Amino acid sequence: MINSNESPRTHDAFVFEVTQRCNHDCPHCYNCWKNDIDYPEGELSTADTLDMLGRMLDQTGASLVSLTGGEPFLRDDIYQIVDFLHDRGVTVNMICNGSLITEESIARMAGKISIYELPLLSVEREIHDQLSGRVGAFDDVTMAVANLKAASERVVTVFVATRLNLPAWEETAELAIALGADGIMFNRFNPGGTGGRNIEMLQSSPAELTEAMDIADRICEEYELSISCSIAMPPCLFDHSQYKKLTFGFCAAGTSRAYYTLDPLGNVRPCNHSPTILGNVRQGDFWEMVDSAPMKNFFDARPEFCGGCKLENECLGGCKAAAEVCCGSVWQLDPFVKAFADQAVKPA
Amino acid sequence: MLHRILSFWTVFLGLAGLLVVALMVLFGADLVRAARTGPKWKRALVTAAVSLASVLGFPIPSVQAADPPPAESASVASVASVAVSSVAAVFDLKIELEKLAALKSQRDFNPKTAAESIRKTKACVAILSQPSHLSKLNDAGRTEAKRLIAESAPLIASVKALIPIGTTNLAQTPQWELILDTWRASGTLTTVKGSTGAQRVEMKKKFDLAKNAIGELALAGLISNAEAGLLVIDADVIWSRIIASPPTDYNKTCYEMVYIPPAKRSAQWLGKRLELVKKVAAADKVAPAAIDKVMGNINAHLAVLANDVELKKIRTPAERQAAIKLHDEIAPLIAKIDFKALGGRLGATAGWKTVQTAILAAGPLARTHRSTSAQRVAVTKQMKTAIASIATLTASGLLSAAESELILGELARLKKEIYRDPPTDSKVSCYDMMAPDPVGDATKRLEKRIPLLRKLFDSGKLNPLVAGNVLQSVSADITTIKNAKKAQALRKQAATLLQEIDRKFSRLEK
Repeated sequence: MINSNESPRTHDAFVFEVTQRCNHDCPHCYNCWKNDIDYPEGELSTADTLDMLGRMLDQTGASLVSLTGGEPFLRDDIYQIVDFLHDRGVTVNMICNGSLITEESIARMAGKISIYELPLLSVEREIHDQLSGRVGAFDDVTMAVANLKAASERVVTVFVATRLNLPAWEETAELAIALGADGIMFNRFNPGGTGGRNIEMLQSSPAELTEAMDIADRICEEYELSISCSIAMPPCLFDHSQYKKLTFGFCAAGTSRAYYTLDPLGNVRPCNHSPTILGNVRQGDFWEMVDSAPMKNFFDARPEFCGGCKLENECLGGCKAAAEVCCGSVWQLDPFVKAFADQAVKPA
Repeated sequence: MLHRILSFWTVFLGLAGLLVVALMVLFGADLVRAARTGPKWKRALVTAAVSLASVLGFPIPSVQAADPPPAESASVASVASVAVSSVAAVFDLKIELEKLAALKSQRDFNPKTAAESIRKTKACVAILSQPSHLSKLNDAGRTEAKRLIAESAPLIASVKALIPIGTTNLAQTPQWELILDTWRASGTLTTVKGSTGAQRVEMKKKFDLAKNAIGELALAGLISNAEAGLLVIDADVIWSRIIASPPTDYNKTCYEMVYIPPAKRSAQWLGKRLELVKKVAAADKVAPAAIDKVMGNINAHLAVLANDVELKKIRTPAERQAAIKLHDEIAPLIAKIDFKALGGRLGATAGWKTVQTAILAAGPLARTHRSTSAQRVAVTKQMKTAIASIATLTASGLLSAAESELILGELARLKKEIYRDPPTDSKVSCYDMMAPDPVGDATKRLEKRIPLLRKLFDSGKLNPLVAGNVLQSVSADITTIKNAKKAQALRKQAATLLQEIDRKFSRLEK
């Protein structure tokens, strides 16, 4: 029955890292098990995985689950997982690299996946392959998009903006449009995991990103396409007000729109970028994890640098998880903002 | 009557004095001289006896009351003399008031007689108004004195009003004196101190009498009609100033306002009508016109009881629960009455209309999966109302349990579809999923996709297989374009490009 808005506590969405295995080796990868920490790795059996998912759904009442990894299609039982979620009435989003999507897999998932999210990192084959860590990645993902669109599936392409691919951003966006993408996520490179060790190679400047966002805004207008900047673009470095069409997002950790992340072993984290484990849903209670001291600390964190900014409580200093991974604490400044703090102008 | 106003000692001494006076009269003594000369005790005794004799009806020359003794040095004799003087004043006042009443009833009398009686009345009132005299009377005496004092003023005024105005000097008339008294009295009530409720009542009476006096002076020609009108307006202005602020004893009066929460009022109102509503609901037929008149009010009160914010204002939990219970009892009955009044058509009932409204609003949002946050809030509210209506209609027997479940299931499905994707106007949270444009908007991109594909294909950046696949889906999308001419043009472009791809791919294959 209709209950989601009336039950005392529900959480509408979470991310499930189906597997930690991946057939790509992206230099910008943020996966937390790739940090220099001792993060638990492994997978449960199909039955245990479904049981764990069931517990998470029971406790959260979630109606939206985003499957990610690693590369979800590396799991043989990915179809069973999707079927399980679909039978539970859950909307499923699929975040994958497209390399293992075939016409057959599309047919098997038909009607069960709400949106496919695939990386399209450059119109230049070599750059996309370089940023994917695998030769042939570009052809695979473009074919995947074409096949998905031929099957009338909804596809969003993700452009991870780095120094390497920014120059080709406009043409890459045109490629996405030509392929039939229903939207584009323009995500600035956010250090963490492997990416934390490649900051110098990948990190672009605020000026370069601003130029790219100007192009993005024009593309939105010209092609009537949605482009979102989902990784926080701190207002002290970027003037959001000049963009008519672009949409911007900030850290939602701890809010009703938080993307609590469930790893393959049942560990729950504040988001898929943070390595902080709040608890394990196979033994513990999700809401106790949400109410726990570490989560409260995560939610309360405000960098000292941001004091006095009128958007302090909205922007929250950028990505707290990136601050945690790269600078040692969620109370530190986002490494991107830290790198360009001398250019920052706090909105008054 | 005597025993009611006199103490034992007073009576005893009075009788003793009476004996003395009787003897004096017998021996031809000058009673007046006796009352005014000699020791104080003698003067008091004679005076008291003379007064007593006059009360009993013996004609004895009246003598002036002896000077009242100082209260502190009261001896038995002096107490007796003062008490008798007070008594005399009481009896004198009574007599004079009887005279005045007689004059009033006669209406045509000698003004001098009236004036003399008024003078004496005022003299007695002056004496008895002094606490030193009043305190010397017993309880019954004091009560009587106060009653007579209270009667004096109005009686005097009534007689004065009847005295023909036989003078051209306005200032000499009792009417003008009354008006001046009234204005003087009102002055004290218009200060910042304000006035009590009782003072206002008295003042209102004075103003009424003053207005009568104004009329009489105008009739007598001593003031013009215009002057009379001005005086009346002045009286009204002063009165409005007096009542401009609440009485100073406002909170002590019985008309203090009490806040009753609307929900409590509604519960009380509906509670009184519950039995009637039950009867109407049980009847075979209802009169639509009569029901129509009543329904608006009942529904308004029910809406108050259904409002959580209003219910919270009922502080007592038991009362609050009772209000909720009353609502739950009456709502289905009203639905039943509504149904009967509309000739038994479920579709015309207010409850069913809320269900229709919710489904009609939710449908398009569910189909397109596109809705703003505000739209979702609005439609969720409509669904909540619809669900409440379904419960009421089911409770009243207008919907079966199976029908109810069917409709509720549909509402649940619609809500799920609406909430499938994030709101179109929502701030995208970090790494959030987007709500891509539906096919309708993608149609515009179709026209631009083919040239883009050509450009990419020509530059060699796009795998021909991929391009071919894309063109196939483009061709499928072209079928959604309603404009036939545009569709045809696009089909031609797509076909041309596909042919080129095929040719190039075939050459590559070879």
